[in-house]
Amino acid sequence: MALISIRDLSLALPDGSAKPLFGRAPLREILRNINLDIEGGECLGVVGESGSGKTTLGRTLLRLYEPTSGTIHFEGRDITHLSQSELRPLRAKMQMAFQDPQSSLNPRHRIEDILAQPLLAFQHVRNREEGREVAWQLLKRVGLTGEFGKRYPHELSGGQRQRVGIARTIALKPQFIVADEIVSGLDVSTKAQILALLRELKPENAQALMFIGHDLSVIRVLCDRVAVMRNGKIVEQGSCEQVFSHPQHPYTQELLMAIPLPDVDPDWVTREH
Amino acid sequence: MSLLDINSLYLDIDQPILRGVSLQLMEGEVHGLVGESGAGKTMVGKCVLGLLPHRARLGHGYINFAGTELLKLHGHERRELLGRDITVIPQNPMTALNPVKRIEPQIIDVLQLHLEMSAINAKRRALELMHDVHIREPECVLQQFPHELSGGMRQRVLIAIAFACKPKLIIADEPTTALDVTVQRQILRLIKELQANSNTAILFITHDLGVVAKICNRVSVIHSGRILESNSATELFLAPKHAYTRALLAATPRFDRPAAALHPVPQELIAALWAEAKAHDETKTN
Repeated sequence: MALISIRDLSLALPDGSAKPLFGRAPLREILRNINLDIEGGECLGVVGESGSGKTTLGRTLLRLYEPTSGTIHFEGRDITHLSQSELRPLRAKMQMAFQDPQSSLNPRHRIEDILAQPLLAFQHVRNREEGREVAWQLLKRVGLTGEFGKRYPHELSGGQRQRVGIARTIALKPQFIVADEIVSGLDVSTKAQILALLRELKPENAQALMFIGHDLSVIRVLCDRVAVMRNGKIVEQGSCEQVFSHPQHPYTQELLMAIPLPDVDPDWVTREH
Repeated sequence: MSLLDINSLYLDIDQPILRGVSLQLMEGEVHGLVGESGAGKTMVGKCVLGLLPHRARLGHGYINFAGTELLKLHGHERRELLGRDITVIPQNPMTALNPVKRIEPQIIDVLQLHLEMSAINAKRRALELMHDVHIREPECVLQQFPHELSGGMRQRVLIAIAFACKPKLIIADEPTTALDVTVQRQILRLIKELQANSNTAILFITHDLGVVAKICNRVSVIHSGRILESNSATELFLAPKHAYTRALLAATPRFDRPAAALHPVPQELIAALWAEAKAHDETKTN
């Protein structure tokens, strides 16, 4: 059975930009009839342009939004309409990694305290000292040394901050991680390092990963399956092999065409597909 | 003769940033400057534009632009040149536009200042420029504020401003990094189209080898403030000479190759490059 299974999921949120001067903002459909299964240990890539609803989908799976209709099952349990307090024990099992590690790390806390916080909150450790010890181990797991624990987020480079973000995400050994554009802001060599790290962490944790991005090249490196989103719908999904070698939907073909591969091709910019 | 000639440029901002950068741009050439963050690629652009922080110390190098020595210019001389002969396409289209002014006056300002156009002519030209960058409903967009436009649209407006005075040289600092792949392709197409029509030279600063391969004639690879390799794009991608260039290519993910083909840049190589740079600093001070 799938770890996560969603059926006919739809979500509408108030559209602030269309709000009249008085009264309520009209609802705007963000996600429409989404069906998706994620197996344990699987890595699913979700691609689409900005505004396609891919981030919202990730957040809805973690129940940061409550869906308008449809169902979400996590480990066979219906979590579609659970209350915040009922969700709390599940939070340790599903985690999110953010695009911008700068704004998702508290600038006033040391790295070791940032990492120890979820451990303390879910009583994985008994006290701050123990939390710091685990934090040191986590830092080693993501390729940093323990000394980084004493530093503050602003003392780290972008790639190092992203490593800390990943360390925090895996701290509670979750079954499911949503990684939202976590390599988009990084340059070539840092991106390759983070991708190598994610690949290395994959087998030892055996958790499911939903990797959200707009770069199909990155998804090819990391994911087993891929889902292509447009206007809140999944237009195509399948194994990476299949989607990349035989894209069915015109939008997937367009996305693939738009990726500049590092091969010289002066006509690429002007070519129509 | 080259349009822009950067010759052994040294720059210190509390610590060495550029270590003898030399770079030549011909008229109408699109030259890619590739490097990771911290390599000094943005600083090369800033030296050309004279936008260095106060703490910056320049060495003996020179930058010659069409017969003018850029590093020796006074403020008012530089102001005449910038925005007319040398312009910029910045990375972040949100911060580059004035958020409290509509689009039209932001374009007209440039035209009136540098080309001394009358208000009516400038308005007409602004509309033409909007057409040139393929903005739909240009009259409407001209009356909007930057926050009402999408990222791709804002970048189009900035490109219109950059090409407004038919410049000889454009410094494009990561102009598409903040954009989606599909929008990125449209913007690259636009830049290439305008560049070819006006025969403008572009120094294209980026970390994305894919973009460079598609748009540049020549490429220079920069690391630790040194140009490691400079070659025509065809040569560089087919037969990269420097180990670092090869490592960067191997570290670029590609959707047409299986995952195992991706190799991060080896730490030893990076360490060796920095050691070389440090050794270079010491021979210089002695």
